[in-house]
Amino acid sequence: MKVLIVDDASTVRMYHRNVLEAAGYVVDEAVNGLEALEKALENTFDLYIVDINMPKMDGYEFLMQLRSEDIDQAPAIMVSTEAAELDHTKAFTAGANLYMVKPIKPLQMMTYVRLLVGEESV
Amino acid sequence: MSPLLQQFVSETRDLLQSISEQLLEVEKADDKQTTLNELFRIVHTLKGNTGLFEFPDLTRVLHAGEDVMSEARERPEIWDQALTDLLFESMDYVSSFCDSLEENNGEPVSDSKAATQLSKDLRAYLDGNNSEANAEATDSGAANEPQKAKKAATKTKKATAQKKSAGGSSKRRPPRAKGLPPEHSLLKVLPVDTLIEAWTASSPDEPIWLVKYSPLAECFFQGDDPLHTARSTPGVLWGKVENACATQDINDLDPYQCVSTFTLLSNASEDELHEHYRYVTEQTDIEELSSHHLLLLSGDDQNDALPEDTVDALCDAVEAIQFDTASDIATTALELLNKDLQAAAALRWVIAITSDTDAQENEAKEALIVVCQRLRHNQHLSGYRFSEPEPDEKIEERKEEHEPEESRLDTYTESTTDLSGADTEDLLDALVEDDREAFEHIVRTQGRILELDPTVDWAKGRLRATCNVLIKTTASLGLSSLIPALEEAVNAALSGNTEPLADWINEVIPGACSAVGAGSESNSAEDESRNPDNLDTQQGPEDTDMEATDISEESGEENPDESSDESTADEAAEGSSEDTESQDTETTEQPEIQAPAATAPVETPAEKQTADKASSFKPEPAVAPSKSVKVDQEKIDRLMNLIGEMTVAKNALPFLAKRAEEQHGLRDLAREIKEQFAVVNRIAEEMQDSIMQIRMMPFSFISMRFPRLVRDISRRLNKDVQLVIEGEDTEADKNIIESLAEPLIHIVRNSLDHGIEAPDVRKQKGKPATGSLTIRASQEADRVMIEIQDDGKGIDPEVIRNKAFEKGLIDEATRQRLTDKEAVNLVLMPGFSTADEVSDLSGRGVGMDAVRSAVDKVNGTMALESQVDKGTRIRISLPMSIAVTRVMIIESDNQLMGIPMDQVLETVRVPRSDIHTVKHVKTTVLRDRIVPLKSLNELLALPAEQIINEEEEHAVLVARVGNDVIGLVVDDFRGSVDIIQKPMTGVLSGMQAYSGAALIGDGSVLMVLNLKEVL
Amino acid sequence: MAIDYSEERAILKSVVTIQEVDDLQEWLIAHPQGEIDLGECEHMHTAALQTLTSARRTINAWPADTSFRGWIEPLLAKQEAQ
Repeated sequence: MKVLIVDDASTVRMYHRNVLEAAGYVVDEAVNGLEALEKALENTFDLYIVDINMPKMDGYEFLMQLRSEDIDQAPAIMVSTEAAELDHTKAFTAGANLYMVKPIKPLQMMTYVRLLVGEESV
Repeated sequence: MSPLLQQFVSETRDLLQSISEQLLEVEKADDKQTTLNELFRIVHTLKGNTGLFEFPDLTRVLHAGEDVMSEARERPEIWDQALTDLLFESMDYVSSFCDSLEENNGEPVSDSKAATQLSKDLRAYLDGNNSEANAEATDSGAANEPQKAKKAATKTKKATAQKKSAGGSSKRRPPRAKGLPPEHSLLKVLPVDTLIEAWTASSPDEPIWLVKYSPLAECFFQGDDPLHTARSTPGVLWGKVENACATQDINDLDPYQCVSTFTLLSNASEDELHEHYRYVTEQTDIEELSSHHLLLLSGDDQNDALPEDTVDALCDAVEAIQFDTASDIATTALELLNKDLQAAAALRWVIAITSDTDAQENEAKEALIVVCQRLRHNQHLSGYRFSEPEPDEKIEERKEEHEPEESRLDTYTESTTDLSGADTEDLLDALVEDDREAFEHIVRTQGRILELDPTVDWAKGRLRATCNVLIKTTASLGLSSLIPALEEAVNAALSGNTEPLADWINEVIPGACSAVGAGSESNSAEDESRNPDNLDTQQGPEDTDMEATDISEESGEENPDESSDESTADEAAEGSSEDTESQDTETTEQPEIQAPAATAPVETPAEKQTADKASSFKPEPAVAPSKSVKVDQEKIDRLMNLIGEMTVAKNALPFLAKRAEEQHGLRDLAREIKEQFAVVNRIAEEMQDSIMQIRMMPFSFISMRFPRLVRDISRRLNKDVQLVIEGEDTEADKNIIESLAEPLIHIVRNSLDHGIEAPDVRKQKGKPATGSLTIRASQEADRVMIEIQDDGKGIDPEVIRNKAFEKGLIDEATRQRLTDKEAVNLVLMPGFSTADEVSDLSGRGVGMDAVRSAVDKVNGTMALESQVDKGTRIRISLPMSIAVTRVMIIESDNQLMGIPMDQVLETVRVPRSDIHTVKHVKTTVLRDRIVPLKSLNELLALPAEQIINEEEEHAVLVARVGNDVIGLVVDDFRGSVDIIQKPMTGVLSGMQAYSGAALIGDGSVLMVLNLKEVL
Repeated sequence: MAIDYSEERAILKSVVTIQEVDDLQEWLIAHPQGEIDLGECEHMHTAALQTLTSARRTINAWPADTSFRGWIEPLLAKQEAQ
């Protein structure tokens, strides 16, 4: 199972990577939407975890591209730093399947990720 | 420190640098907006990172900074120099926080007071400037107002809307039971007396309001007393304060930080509440509840508290609208019951409702039914078939959902469950609590997505993603019985009919999906906001109509489902500005290159990202993604050491060849060894070059500090200075670049402090009021040249001459002889400082001589030119790399010593007869030039005479030391060799005569002479 | 001054303002066993409440105003029990 973390903050990427790798997922990273698109074109991912605010291409734009170009229709979680930025509808409209406030607690993240990638619980 | 924390510190430093650059940019940029957007983005990212750790002080400062940035990008007119200063100060705080994190191994010593002050100052800026700015710029102020009001309005959650819509809305949906009102986890903890009191004070027509008020941490400084605000809420029925102070030591408590939150119930009108909380709209959440929400049975759970026939009798009485009978039954039963039980609460409800004379019969019955059903459920009795108090609304048996383990403030669980969905319910019941919550939330969310505008270009992809999610999630939980229907629905959805899918979702989570396609007419999205896992705590409801107008006004996007939240406008504005941002890839790339001191970047130029944001946005796979890797400095040092050893080992081969030939007469073997040596040598050299490349850093690594430095100092001195930096790409070895930082800062300070005059003085001299300071880096052959030039008052050679003389640095003769150019260079002599008074800027007693010695340390040279009133120019020449030094090995008194090749001009044999003594100094003439000779043994105080060879010649090494050329008389030359010079350590470090030592090919230690000191 | 301090207890009266919070905190630190009397207290600034919450002291008298008491009791009483 392969997860792409799209976030411009390296600390957040590392945090998510640690959690996911501990659970046995293969993790790739992209620092903005553009790089994420390129990676999505070349690889198959089972899940995208996408930040909103990024340089060059933000998370909304990335998801729209991902969905409209029919690049990949794997589940996507949109993550945002704080509640005030919440704009669920915008995220869902763009093509996110879930909206979570980061930092996502490890247990919570694991539960959701497991369900979204369709992995059977142990 | 954990790797995550290390990463955090490293990234924070990068981000701080970017912020600093942008802050300087804001002041001069014509296009403020782009810079402000970028600033906001960086500060936002930084703040986001702090969320991963428990650093409240840090978060506080950054949060305030983020808010100010957010305000500023909407209203750039609030920006002024004071704000730049304040933000710089805040970033300094963050920087020192990082320092303390590192020093204390992840346990920061934080100055809470400073953090509080900064955040207060920042916020005060927000509010304080608000009024001023509003007065000046009424336009923007006015534009802001309705938006805020709207936001306040949208924040009101309409929980009762569900009740209204459930009856009359979706025709497609199978009719659903109205169900019990949700059990609000917050209300559930209230004592039943309070609930009854609140219920009595409300009526179905007058809803009650649940107000949550989370004041800003700094609100005390604005004169707020949130407890007072909360207590004086109109129509307050009940309220409570919460804070986590109990877990904090009173000694550490900062009482001036508001950390309390308030929750209260009120039966005032919505308008009154908004009026009361008008100044703190952003911090207030007002939620509408119907009086039925209050009908909760708080207390202890005990399932056989009441005999079944008593409960049945009670229900019969309620059903028959015999309220007196119901009241009697309840009163009697209550006497026998522990008052703390939930069953007792139910009985008290019955008594209270039946005795409420204001209540309409229907209304009372409805309430009683809710209470009775809850009681039955609580007593584990089967549901009771009440007739409908209102013909069009049916109340059927309902089953209470599991409350999450920890009841959270902002959430309440839906307990509306269709009888027909009982199978699904059982299935879900069997799941682990967390899984079930997650599953419900995911499915609910997909239901919501299904309702979104289906006309967008990517709707089809989105739909497929939604289907993927549903299938995967369901499969993941092994809910195989749900799958066949799901697959069918998915197939239908993909071929254009999403109705079955919506039905399926509703089957699993009743009410999760109310409409299919665009233009949903119900408010089912609110169900979503009530999901049990607290993911969506602040989600605003979607009032579709209003949003549509809002969005088209604000961003021109044609998406009817956009939320009207202010952040939408922000994001839209940001999105549009990103086009411009993305053009300067350099600025965003820069932090990658300017690695923090702890790391060195690895980047091949070919991989520099050139991606432009194409209008079509079709990504081009041809564009290689940037692949810089940050490598720990230690790893590179290790490589460096290895290649050093390799060089040494390799250099042993010529010795070996020589021995094979001379001692063993194996000429062929010697030749082969030499051939092999050539190969190894080539590889080693290339390898060394490659490693050197890794260590190369751009000059910008240090020059990026100067804009801020110059700004700060010139402002403090009230001078006007224009800083120009050129050649920032010039690269040199990391050590060189780093060793340059301090001297350069010193030079720049000197220039600002003593060089550039105050504006009025400059005007008097006929110069432009704004002084200019240029720092220029360039590469000349294998050296890096740094030039610092100002147009200040220059250095008066006469003053320098006199001062040097007074200080005894030169004698009278020298004083007379020195040219002006030589005289100004005297400031570089040790112990010289020109400042008449020591200012705090240029430091104490450490003048240019300190700079000089720092430059000397890395084998650099420096020269100074100055013209009175025209300015000063300092040129520093540095080797590009100091890692490997080529030295000439000489022998003297049976010792081998090294002399850096860059000082060696030539080696000659001078016949003894050609050496003359002129004025007690031995000299010889080389190429028509008189060269003074020094005996190395003499210089090193070795008693031996220099050895002459059979032809009566002295071995003389001609070297350049500073600006002088001297001939060093040694015993013999031994050829040149590459060495990795290590500084002298321990007792040897005190020996000024040697600059370092190195291992050479035969394994012996070679001391490298420091000629400047020796002479 | 709305607070009377003695060695054993601090008696909060009428309305306690934010200006009195510094003294209150000092007294609480200096008197780790000191108790609190709120019998005549009508209101206290949020900052004072936070300070009291942090101090976790025995409350020997609650405000006469039951509504006020309702606001603060869960916070202060809970701590008392700990």
